This record gives sequence, C-alpha cells and structure tokens, in this order.
Amino acid sequence: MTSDIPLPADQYRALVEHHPTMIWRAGLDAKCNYFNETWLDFTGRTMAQEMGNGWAEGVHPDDFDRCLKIFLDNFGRRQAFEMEYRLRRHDGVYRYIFDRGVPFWDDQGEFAGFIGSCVDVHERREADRMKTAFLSLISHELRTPITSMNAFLEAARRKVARGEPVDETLFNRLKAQCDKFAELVQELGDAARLEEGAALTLHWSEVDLAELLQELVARLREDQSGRVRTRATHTFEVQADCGPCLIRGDRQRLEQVLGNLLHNATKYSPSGGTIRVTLTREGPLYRVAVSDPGISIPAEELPRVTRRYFRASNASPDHYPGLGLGLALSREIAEQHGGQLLVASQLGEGTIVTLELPRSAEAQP
Amino acid sequence: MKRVLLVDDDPDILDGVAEILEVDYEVSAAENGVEALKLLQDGHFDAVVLDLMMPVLDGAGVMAALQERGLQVPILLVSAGRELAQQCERFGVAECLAKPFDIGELEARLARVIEKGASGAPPGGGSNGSGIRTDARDMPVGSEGRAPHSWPRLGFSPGAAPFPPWAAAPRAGAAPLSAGSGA
Repeated sequence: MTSDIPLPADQYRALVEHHPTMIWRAGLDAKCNYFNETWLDFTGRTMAQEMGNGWAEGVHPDDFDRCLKIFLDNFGRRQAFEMEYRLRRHDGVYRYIFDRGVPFWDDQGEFAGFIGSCVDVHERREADRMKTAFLSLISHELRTPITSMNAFLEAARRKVARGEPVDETLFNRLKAQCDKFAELVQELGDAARLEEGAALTLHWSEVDLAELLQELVARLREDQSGRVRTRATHTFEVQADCGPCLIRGDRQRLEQVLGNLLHNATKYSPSGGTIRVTLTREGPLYRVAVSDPGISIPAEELPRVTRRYFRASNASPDHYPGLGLGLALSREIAEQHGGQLLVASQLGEGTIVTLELPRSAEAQP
Repeated sequence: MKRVLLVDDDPDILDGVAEILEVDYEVSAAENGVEALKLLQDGHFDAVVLDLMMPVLDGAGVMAALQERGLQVPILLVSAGRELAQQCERFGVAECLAKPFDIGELEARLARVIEKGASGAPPGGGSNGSGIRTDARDMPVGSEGRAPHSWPRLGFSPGAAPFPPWAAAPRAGAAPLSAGSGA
C-alpha cells in the first residue's frame, strides 16, 4: 500500500542526509556536486574538498583507473552501474565500498546527471578473501595425501605385475595416508560444526593418558623408521612416570589432540631435533607438555594461536601448508573435557604446548 | 642410468615416487630447497622433480638460487598449490604437473624433461618463458588467481580539467540537493 501524500522537501533532505548509505550526485559535466553527511563523515572531508573531482583523491590508486572507466563509460551511455573500490576513510584506512550509480532526469524529462549510493562492504570482501584462501588451503591439504596414496598404490601394483613380493611396509604407509586423509575430513567436519555454534560430539569412557601417549609416540617412531629417504629425523623423549593416568574422556578425541600436538612439534621443526613429551600429575590435573626446538611463534601472536584458521606470521602457507584448525580444535576438545590448552613460545628456543586435563574422580585421592 | 633428484617435504611422496622411479633412474632425494641446492651443487643430475611449497627454502627459492648461480638443470615442477602455472611461467620451466598427479604422466613428463635437457633445449631455471607445458588444471595465471589489471590508463588526475572529455556546459552546477532534483 502506498501513500499519495508527497514527502515534503525537508523530509527528503533529512532522509538523504541521515541515511546510513553514502550518497553522491553528479551533474551533466560528470562532476560531483553533492555528498550527504554519511559520505562526509566516512571520508572526514568537507563538502568543498569532495566537490567536482575532489572525491577521487580518496579512491585507492590501484582502483582509480578501473572506477573512472566504469563511471565515465556508463555516464556517457546514461546507464546505471555498480562497482566496488577502496575509498579512504577518515582514519586513513582504505575500505572496500559498493557503489551503485543511476542516471536521473529533471522535471522536463531531460537527463540531469547521476546519483549514487554506497555501502561499506569491507568485512564481506575480507570474508570472501579469507574463504578463497581457505578453500585453496583445503585443496592443497587434500591433494598431498592423495599424491602419496597414488604413488604407494602404483608401486604395489607394478610390483605385483612384475611378479615381485610386495613389502607390507608399502601397505602400512598407504593405510597411514588414508588415515591422514580421514583426519583432514574429520577436522573440516569439526570446524563446520563449531562454526554453526554446536559443540563437538564426545563419547565418554575411562582413558589412560599415559598408555595413549606411549601408543602415539610409538606410532610416530615407527612411521619415522619406515621412511627411507628422509634425513631430518626427530627424537622423541617421553617422560611419563605417573603410572596409569586415568581421566574421563573421549579416547578418539584425546588421540586427535595429542596427535595434533606431536604432529605440530615435528612439522614446525623442519630440521629435526628432539621432541620432549612429559606427562605429570599435579593436584587434580594431568599435564601433558610437548616441547619442540622449532621455528616458534612470535610472542605478540600467542594470544591468537588457538583461534580457528590462525596462521603464525613466520609460517606462511607456502612453507608450512595447513588449515590452521589443529590447535583450535585441540583447545575446543580440551575445554569440553574441562581442561585447557596453554601455548608458550620463544623465538629461537621453540614452543611448548601444554594440555591440562582433570583427573578422573575415581583416580583422585 | 640417468640421475634424478626428487625434492619434496612430504616423506611419503618422496618414498612413494622414488619407489617407482628407481626402476628406471638413479634417484636421490631432498626434503627442502637447501638440501636440494647442496646436492645440485655437488653432483650432476639429469633432471629435478621439484615441489614448490616446502619449509626452509621453497621451490621458487631453489629456482632463483639456480639462476643466480648460473646452474642449469632440467626441472619438472610439481605442486598442490594454485600458483604452479604462475611460477612455471616466471622461471621458464618447461614442464609442470599439479598434485595429485598420475604416476604415468609424471614418468612421461620426466622423460621429456630429460630428453630436452640432453638435446640442449632451454632447461628449467632459465628465463625462456615460451613453450611451457602445464597441467595446472584450474590454477589460473595471475597473482592469487586474479586476472591482471588490464584497464588502460586514462591520464586523469583528480582536479584536472577538462573532465570528462564530452562534458557539456554544466546545467545543474553545484546546487545543493533538493526534492525537485530528480532524486
């Protein structure tokens, strides 16, 4: 239903001046002759500074030619246009804005210029950019184990074709790659669940942390010993003198956390070295600390290290591919167990990641 | 037997691929660019299967170092990343292959790289960008997959007159917005 009562001019003006979108108008010479308050608040400039072509001073130099061409081409054709570009905000920061310009006509029906409205879409652009980067990382992470699976499978197939015996190691390594692939898919599923605001599903039972830790380290040592052409090796030193360390938890999830901490310790220590793992009992807690001699995490980034998709600035995806999910999921799992994940790091010294978990009620004195 | 250097930070890819190539080649392996450069400096190789994304020194760093040192060795560039075609073009690498690759395809391309190297054709690590053969699939050329800017420069600078070239004498002038302006 529409009203036939015309909106008085002062109400039009108030509407336009205070509308949350930025509004501009250009005359027949394509020079701007009006900006609303929202525009001027955004740019922090005066009407006089923005008039004519003054507004263009705020457009990012890399976007300027493209924007100008779109504007002039459509102005000439008197056709509406849409474009996105970076515009300098009052604080000097360039923000992406979406700008829609439409031609308008005067009371005699003569073309009189263009009027446009703009909204700040920087967050959306940034989210799009991060999504693209993340999809690219996922693609990389999935391609890598498929490559080695292909190779192991083909090696086995050819041996069979030549009538040669196939070493069991080949199949074990193929299986390990399948597991790696499955872990990646699990991580992606977990991340999606957390993005939706849901908690991870845990299956509770009594778990012996010491046994689990020894099992994981043994598996890593075995994996490493099976590698034929790798020079950089890691030594695992495990100190777990507390006997059975029982907690109430999800064994598979705890395996995911400990596996992740151990994997990170080796991944970010590309030159090899000693990975120290200690399991201690302190009051009502068990504490698992994994220390590595690796590339470390810059101190100023430590508070963000367990956020989803976080990548340390000294671990570019070109050198250390990964999704930035492992530590975030580990923290989530630790917290769902009533524990926490602590990260300490010093450049040049390495990193210590500590998992704290409450002991089982039965095990506590 | 021809000598091939495999460079990849993934120990499983190194072992899996080497297991196959060792039937026809003498294979050496390096886990990062620094190790690769050392081996290339110390010995002769007929070809290098070089991964791009690696810790310590990546594939691009290896190719840049080879160019700097004037070392020429035929390169087959492989990567699971999206910048493969771009790096191939940048370094004039004649063959590149996206992961995950078909092993038969890897062998065919490796044979071609070695053959070209033996015949004196421009090897990888040179600056010749022509004749590049890629299997980069959906990996676009251009920074981060974006098309390079192709807009012509219009020679406009803010405040310069006349603007635009077709502009008639202004009719609306700098009048403030009013309800009758057609908005």
